[in-house]
Amino acid sequence: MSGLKKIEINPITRLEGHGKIAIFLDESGNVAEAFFQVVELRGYERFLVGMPIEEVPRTVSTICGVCRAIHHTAATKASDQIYGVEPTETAKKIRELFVNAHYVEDHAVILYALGLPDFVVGPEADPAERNIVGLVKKVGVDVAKEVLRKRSYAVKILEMLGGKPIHPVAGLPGGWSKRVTEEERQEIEKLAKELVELGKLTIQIFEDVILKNEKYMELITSDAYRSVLNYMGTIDEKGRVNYYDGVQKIIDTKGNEIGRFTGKEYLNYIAERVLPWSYLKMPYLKQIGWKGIVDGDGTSLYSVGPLARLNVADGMNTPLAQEAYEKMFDVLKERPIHYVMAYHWARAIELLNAAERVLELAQDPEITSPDVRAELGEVTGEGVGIIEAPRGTLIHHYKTDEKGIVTEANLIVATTHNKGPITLAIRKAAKHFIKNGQVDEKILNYVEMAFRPYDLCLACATHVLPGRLPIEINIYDSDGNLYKTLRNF
Amino acid sequence: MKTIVVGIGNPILRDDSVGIKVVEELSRDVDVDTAILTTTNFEVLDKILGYDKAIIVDAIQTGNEPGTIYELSIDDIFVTYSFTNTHNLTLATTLKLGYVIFPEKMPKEIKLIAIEVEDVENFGEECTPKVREAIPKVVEMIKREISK
Repeated sequence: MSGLKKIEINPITRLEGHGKIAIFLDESGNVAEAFFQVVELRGYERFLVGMPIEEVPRTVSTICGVCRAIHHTAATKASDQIYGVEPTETAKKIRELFVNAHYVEDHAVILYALGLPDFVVGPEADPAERNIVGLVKKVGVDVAKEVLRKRSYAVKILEMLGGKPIHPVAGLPGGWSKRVTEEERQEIEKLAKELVELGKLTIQIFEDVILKNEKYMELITSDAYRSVLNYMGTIDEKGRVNYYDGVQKIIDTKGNEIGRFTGKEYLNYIAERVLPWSYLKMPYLKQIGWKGIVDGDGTSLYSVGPLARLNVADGMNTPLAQEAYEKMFDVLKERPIHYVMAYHWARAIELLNAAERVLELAQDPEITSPDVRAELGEVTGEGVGIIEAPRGTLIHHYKTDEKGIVTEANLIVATTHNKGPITLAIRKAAKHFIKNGQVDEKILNYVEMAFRPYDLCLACATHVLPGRLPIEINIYDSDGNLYKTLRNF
Repeated sequence: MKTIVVGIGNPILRDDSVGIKVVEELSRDVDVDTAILTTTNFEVLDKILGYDKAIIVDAIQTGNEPGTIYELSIDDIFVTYSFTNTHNLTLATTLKLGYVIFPEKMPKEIKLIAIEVEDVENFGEECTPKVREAIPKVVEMIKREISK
């Protein structure tokens, strides 16, 4: 790297995971290379070894404070297979209701706290304004109050179903430990109607603020934020997006199907490349073979998460979300959509979809059936639970001994799948916005905006105070001397 | 005065669990409303709205001696103009937001108690010894605070 200038975006502490962005400039001050490095919390899988599989769902709900419902359900699905049992229809519906309520909550937080401020307040606004408080000022306190109040209803549903306020415990092999009473069903139905309103409001805000603003639409469709990739997501038997269960489908950059899999067949599709400069392995598609961190036709990188799911599917399983889905593809005029910023749009559509699905399931007469648990079969010794986490496909793979004690655990989380696309997004934004050595404060946000759509979860298990990710950009001249520092703290 | 004590942390990430352990220990001795949280996002508001006073216990990492106990105000932890990190809302942002959106329902008084941690990288249910020693001290502090 001699002769190159180096810009480093460094977290100062090790809180909230260890993300590190290093940008190298060439002699003329343009970006030669950019890397994204992560140090994940390790040792979690080891922690699970030796545990009875039925304990695992309750334990993994603590991996991540944000995604607790999702890890719980993925491990519960794996435990079904280990006990060779098919859950009852009612149990499946309760689990799906649970997962969809989680989507409403999580997507609302991500959109309102992290995604929308960039647009509503403006990407070049002073960072003192470009945040959720700035967003509240723009949309008005009354709207913000409605949003926060309604999203708390999703939390209420989660607590009602999960069996314990914070960490859910209700998932069991073959079912769900807690049936839904008629009284609870009525309460959930009432709350779900409000959630649908939240979904409609979110789409409305997105349309009013972003779609009607030419500048933001230019930003969304800018080459700086466009990555031509393969996509992976889960679909139901009609090819529609499903978060709880279905088949995992992979498409190429043009939308052609590469393949579909269930359970441990994931090993036939996903391979991992160990990169010398990174602590993380980077997944790629086995069928295509490692092609490097490149996009375009023929790349072996794939992405997961809201946009990936909508790209892979033929539609949504609820009417209002279907309308919004069609509109997104009409407006952006491509399929699959490769604009990374469209992740936020897809997230808004999924929020509405999940809310509608919560309502549908709350109105399903079968949801209150007492038949919530199936008889366990023989221990099979292996189980794979695959679920769509809000950030993308989540795989829990366990092996056990004949008594159901875990001997091996492998967890692949969304941020791991997305590692290649995130690196690529940062590289593209850096190349676009850093020219001739010109770097200012705004660059930091434009680069952050490139990976924010993926909502990377580096090590969200820890959130110790002060609970932020301080970022520092160091700019070095070609002799390696520091001549400028930019900080967000 | 209607008071709630909230412990924040991850129960199986060693010292990160300290806030939860304080609340669990406290609720064995004292009859006070408590809540346990694993994130610092809007859920904090779900728990504290409607109370006159909230005591929030969390882990902190500043590089000082593990087990050190800090009493902080919101402004003490509101150190940055960048309100969010890339993944989640910070506690300070959430609380400030609460005062903007729900001024009438937010507690008039919020006390933050933070305990300096040593190990938040390894999985385990036990805190490290110095952090463990801080737990009864914090419980006593809170008892005094409640009886004021």
